[in-house]
Amino acid sequence: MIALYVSTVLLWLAVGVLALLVLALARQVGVLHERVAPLGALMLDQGPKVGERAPIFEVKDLFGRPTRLGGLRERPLLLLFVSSTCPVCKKILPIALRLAREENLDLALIGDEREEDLRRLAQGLAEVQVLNAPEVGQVYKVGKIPYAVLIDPEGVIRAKGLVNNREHLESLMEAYRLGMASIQDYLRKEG
Amino acid sequence: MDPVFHWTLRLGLALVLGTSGLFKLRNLEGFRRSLANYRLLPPSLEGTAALLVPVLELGVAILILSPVYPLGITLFLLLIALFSGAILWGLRQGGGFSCGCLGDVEEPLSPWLLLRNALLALLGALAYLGSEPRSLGFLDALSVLMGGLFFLLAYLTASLFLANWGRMEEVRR
Repeated sequence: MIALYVSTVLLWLAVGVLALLVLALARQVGVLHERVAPLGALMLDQGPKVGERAPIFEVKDLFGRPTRLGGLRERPLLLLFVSSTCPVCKKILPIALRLAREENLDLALIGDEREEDLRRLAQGLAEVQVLNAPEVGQVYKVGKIPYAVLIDPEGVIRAKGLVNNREHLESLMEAYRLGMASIQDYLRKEG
Repeated sequence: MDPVFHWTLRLGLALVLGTSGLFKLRNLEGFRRSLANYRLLPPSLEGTAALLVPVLELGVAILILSPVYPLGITLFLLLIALFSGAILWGLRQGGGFSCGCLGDVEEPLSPWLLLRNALLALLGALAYLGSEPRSLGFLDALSVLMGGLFFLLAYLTASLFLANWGRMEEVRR
């Protein structure tokens, strides 16, 4: 009888430890996947270049308020090109919001679709400008979304690129602080 | 059914349901966004539903462990049917978003989730069978406790693997 007790307790212990180990492994695989993702925002070399003056647009936002993109302003401006049909955009939205709050940026969401879809995507985001402005995306030659452009208070484009996750967005801020166009540019200069 | 099997099933199901509810409550805003992706509810109801679902899950988990467990199991099966319907609807819309099953764990919508739900429903239905009376000892209690925990860990691991599988596909592309 004692032997049965001991062996059952030991077996359950072994099962518990193994289950925890497999769970930990699955988590590690998840972390590895995040690390494997490309470092830094991929810059697609099209549209206005980093270091150039940002083109100035006068557009109305979803609430009909006139909005000016580019030119002199008080705080840096982060343009985020999104669409309600793109799942990554939904993932990146709260991250961009937090980044804008932490780094003191103005955030403008720019879409090219039906207004009600865009409104649905931006619902609950009071502190953000939301614009349905296809012409902006055309001038910046945005081919893939979510795409971000960081414009400094002097109205100069400081960083831009495809942003699929938090690291990509942060790399834009990093590029801005370092004065480099992109992480790729930094790696090239560092040799 | 032997009481050890019966109780292990009930404890396991309650733990899975309770954990899902807690994960959702921990990140309510994320769960609201997941719900919005399904496009099932008008936006004005999404906030309420996002709170209601995890609260219901926790309530049903407690019911499953209580003496009125057949009611708990019935509600559990209804919840599973509701979730499966939502997943099916999301898949037919093209999918491509997190199912929101475990709050902020990015589990992409896939037919596997339906299989998982079917399995959970089957295990739930087995708990209807009730237990035969038998005097329970220390080993029985240990088996129920560890078996229930194992049930939960296996569920979480399967969810994580499903989440990683989605990322795996992204890497392959």
